[in-house]
Amino acid sequence: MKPVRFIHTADIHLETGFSGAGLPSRLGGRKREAVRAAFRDILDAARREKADFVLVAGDLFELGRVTPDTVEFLKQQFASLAPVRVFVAPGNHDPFIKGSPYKDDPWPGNVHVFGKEEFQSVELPEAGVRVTGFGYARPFFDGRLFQKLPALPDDLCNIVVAHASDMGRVPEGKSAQGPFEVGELAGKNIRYCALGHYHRQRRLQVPDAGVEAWYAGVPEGSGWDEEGPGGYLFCEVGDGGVRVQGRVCSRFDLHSVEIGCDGFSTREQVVEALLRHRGAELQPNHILRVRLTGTPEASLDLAFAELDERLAGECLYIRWEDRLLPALDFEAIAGEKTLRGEFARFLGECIADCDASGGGGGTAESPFRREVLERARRYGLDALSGREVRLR
Amino acid sequence: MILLGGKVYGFGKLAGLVLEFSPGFNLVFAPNEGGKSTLQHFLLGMLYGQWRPDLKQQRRLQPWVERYKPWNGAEYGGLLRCRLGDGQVVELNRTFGKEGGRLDIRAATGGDMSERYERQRNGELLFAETHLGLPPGLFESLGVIRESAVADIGDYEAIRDRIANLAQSGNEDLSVKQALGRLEAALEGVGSERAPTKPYKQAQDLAAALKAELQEARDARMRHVGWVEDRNRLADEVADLERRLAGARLAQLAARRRETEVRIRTLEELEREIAGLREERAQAGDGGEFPADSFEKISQIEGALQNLDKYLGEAREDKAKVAAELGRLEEERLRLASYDASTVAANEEEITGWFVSWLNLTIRRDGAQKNQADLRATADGIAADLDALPEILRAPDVDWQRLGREASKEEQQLLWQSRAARDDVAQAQAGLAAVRRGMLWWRMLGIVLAAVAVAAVALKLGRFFEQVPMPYVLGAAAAAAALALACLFASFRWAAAVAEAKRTLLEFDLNMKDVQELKDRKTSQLDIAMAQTGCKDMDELMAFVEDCAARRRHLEDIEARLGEEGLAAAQLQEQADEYYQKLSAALSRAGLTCVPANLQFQVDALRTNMRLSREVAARHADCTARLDELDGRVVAMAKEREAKQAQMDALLEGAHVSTPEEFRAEGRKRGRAAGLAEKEESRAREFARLSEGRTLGGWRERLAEMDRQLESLADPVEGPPADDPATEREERALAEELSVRREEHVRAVERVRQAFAGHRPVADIEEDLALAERDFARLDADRQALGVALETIRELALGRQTELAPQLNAAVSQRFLRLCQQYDEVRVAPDFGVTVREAATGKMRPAAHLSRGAQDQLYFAMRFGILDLVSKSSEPCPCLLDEPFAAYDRFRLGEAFKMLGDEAERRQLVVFTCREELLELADRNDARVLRLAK
Repeated sequence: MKPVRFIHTADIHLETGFSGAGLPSRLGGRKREAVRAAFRDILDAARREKADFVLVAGDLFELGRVTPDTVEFLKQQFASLAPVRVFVAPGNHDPFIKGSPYKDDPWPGNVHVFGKEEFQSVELPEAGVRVTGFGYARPFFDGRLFQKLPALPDDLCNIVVAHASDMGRVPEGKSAQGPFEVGELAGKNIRYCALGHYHRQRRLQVPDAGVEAWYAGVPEGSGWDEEGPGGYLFCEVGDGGVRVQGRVCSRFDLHSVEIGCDGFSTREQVVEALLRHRGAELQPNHILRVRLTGTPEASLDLAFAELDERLAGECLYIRWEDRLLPALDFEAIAGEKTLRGEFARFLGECIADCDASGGGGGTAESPFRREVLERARRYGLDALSGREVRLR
Repeated sequence: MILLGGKVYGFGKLAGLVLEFSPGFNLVFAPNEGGKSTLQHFLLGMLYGQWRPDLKQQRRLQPWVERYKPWNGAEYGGLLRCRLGDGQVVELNRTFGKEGGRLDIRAATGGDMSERYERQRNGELLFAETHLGLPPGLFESLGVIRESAVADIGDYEAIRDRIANLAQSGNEDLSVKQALGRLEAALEGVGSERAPTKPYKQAQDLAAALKAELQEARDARMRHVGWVEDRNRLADEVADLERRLAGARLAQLAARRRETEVRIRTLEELEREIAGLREERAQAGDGGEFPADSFEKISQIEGALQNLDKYLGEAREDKAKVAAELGRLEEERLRLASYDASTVAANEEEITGWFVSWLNLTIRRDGAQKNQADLRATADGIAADLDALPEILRAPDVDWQRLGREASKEEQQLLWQSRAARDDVAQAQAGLAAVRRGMLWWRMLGIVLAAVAVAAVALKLGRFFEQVPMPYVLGAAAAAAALALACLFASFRWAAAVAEAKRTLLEFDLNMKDVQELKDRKTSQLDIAMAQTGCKDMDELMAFVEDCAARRRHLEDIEARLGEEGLAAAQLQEQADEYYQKLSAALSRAGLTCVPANLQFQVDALRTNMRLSREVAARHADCTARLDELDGRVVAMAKEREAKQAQMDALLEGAHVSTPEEFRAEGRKRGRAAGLAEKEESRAREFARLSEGRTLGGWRERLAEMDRQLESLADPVEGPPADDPATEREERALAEELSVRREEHVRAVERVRQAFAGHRPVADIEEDLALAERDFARLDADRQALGVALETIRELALGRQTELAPQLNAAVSQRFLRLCQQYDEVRVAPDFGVTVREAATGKMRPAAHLSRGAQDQLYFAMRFGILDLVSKSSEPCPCLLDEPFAAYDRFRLGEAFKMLGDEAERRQLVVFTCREELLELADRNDARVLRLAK
């Protein structure tokens, strides 16, 4: 059999927002451009490596945010790839529904969109390949799609593409779109299963040794649970088996750093501690989340604007998280027979009540209420201890 | 708890110090820098340890640990024995320092008690906290009374505030009011919905604006979906119309097929007809070549030859007439040759100009000469009048006006001078008389004094004054003689003044005479003039003299004008002569002579002849040109005729005839054949029109193509007849509708493309909104938190006041009333204001009215009372007083020590001081004294 070379990508999420990562729009805009650039890189790789086709396993774009400009961009990119074929299996973010560009716009002839909630096949006899795909026709699909997949004919090399959730390892906070068990892939004459939905690149352990199943991962990380470089998969299926190479195409990677600030009394110490990560997490094209922990001296003034200024050029952006603990022993203070002690006791009880009600199915207000009480306790004790009330 | 004693191993400057305390009143005496503060810190360190109490998770040293490292290298630490509330004695053995921090708690029996105490994560055992119920900070603020706290008690208000602070916060310097102020300031900084310049409202507004923007962007997306539907619907409509239009065009195709079939049949018929005509023309025969198309040409050439003959004759006649006229003009030109402008060397305009100038100058010259004569007559008349004037007025250089003015002026001056001279003379005469009198007086006095001197000497000598010594008489005589000499000398000076006055008087007389003479001389000339002219007074004379002067000036003007007129007449004559010479020369060149009298006639003759000469020359030139033109025309027409004749000969020869008539006869014979050819051509044109540039074969191919197109249709259309108006209308209507729909579709496509123009990407807005909401949530949390803190502190403070006041009342009453027996009740209000009742009168008095000593006692009573309330009731908390009485006088010290002595019965007191007078008071109160060496 002549080797078949193709690219497997998924979860591009063109036009996605980065509000979840707490990035400002100026940086969000740069990230979105980076996503586009990563996608261009993927298609360039397909041209350069003379791939037979490209598989997009869902979430190519976000339907709620897609603009005519994005659609034109995709059309132009796909058209420029011709005659290389592109197979798109719509996912939950880009379902094949009314109002979707998949449905409403004409696409270049080399693009095939699987527009039905059933597995459909396209045969490429010249390559000896049959591409079988499944498309979402709604924003949420919880059917077990691989149960609907019959055993495919073994006359051609079968490649399957779909947006689905491996229920064996569901990442935290991820919805179960198109759930399946890896066992459902076995015995259906599949050589390679191109999956999307989970944003980390990984291989599935399918009981059937002949089946190779992969999540391609995101080309450009969009949340703090997607730290590190993003990329796509370059695959080659031949008589010798399936060879899968993970390739990096991300530009602005997300990284997290935790700085313990015990005993810190100046901002310089924070800067010094962060600069120790230079070359690793701290790089000019990285977006950093810096979590400050520990109990610093009361003199430490975390003026983040000044810290940003001091670290300008060291990385693209820093999102600061103030998890510092005040240098106050609430328990000891609460033991005092003073107003201060009484105040600490009262608010401690309020917080405990809030925790109890929150733990017992409290409303969404509970965390906010707890935060308010925490702050009230801290500010009140600062004031009663004769210190300036410094807002967090 | 009672501190029994112990040992300082090493702590700052203290080393090997053994401590012994009594259970009640203790006094630690040491001079300044003697180690009092060090010992205090040692005790605090022994009780609470070296680790920072606010970081119980971490082993971070308190700042003092480094400061109190032993100076002499002794072990950093110490031993402290305490008796607890239950009577048990325990021993604390501690070491300090970064590597130290060990605490060993043992009972008096030696048993380890460390396990009985809670151990924090930093390793600290909570010994003092357990027994006293006070964390280290609170112990420091309540259990240690420092100098500053007591010294600042200036008045009752200060006491009340401090007690309130202690009662509320456990620290005298921390007031609830200030704490609330800090929180309110922070809340003010955050702002509210009604403060548009504060962060809270700004964050709220920003979030609202971003939400609105997001909603707009989402609305745009909704519109976009609708517009996409419109676009797709229009695309479907366009496709449908295109299909219908294709159907209509197919029907048209069927009709056109039929029409093409008919066209092909017609073309075949025409082709057949053309072939028939060609055959008939061939049968008519053509008789060889005949230039039938030259028929008209020959007629044209024939007519042209006739016309040329006619025009040639006319031209020749004109030429003869022009030649005759040219001869006549030549004769005339020769006759007028001398008047040619070139001969005369001037043209008519110049001649006319010269003549006009000459005439004008001549007239002006005559006018000037006439003026000259008139002026001469006038001047002669005036000269005669002037000659008739009196002799004295003929002198022209006498300015009579000036003489008159000067005479008047000088007369006035002389009058003044004569008056002044007279005054001077009178004054000089008076002075002379006075001087003379003076001179006489001095002279007489001198004579008298001389006589006295002489008489005195004489009388002495005559022995009249024998009782007067001689020297006296001589002296008196000498004095009189001296005075006489002086008077005489003065009289001589007065005589010189008299001579001077006489000389001055003489000069004044002479001056007066000179003035009078000058006046007489000035007036004599004018008097003569008036006499000669008969004028009665000076004014009349002056008028007469002025008239004479005017006539003289007039005469001078006339003489001047006569000169000017003469000069002008000479210049005009010169210029007139110049023009005359030019005219005379021009006339001479034309053969004419002139004198000024006939100049005008001769000039007119010259100009007339010059004009004639010019006209003749012009006509001669015209005739010459006309003759040349006629010559050219005759030659040209002759040539053209030859050419036409040659053409005619050639055409006739080509038709093999000799005359045009023969040619026409032969042409008629050939006419019928041409008719047939013409018909053939007409049919050919018809064929070409119908075939539209396509061959018959081409039409047949097209028909076959149409057949193929029609055959390809599954359901052939039963088409209308070709060019059916209804079908064409339907097709046009469909095309128009299709065009409209296509335009709408294009607009819809563009609208879809521009749907998000002017809107930021939704992701951008969401990101900004998320940040704005995060900021707002933070500010909202802060605002609510500050509100909660404020409200809570207010409520707790109020409740605490209400609760503490009665307890404090009891604690204070116990202490205060025992010492101040003139009062029988103390009341502590919720705001910690204190009033006391006088035992004698039963009146309540505010504490502010108490004496200073009583106020001090009240302060200490309340402090100790609060310490009771805050610390564990089962374990009286020892109290350290660090130089609390630095500012006290002896009376206040006595009052304070009463209070301390009383309090020492309840708790252990350790007073640290450097004042020696306290030693005596301590001794009186049975206090144990510990002296620290410097």
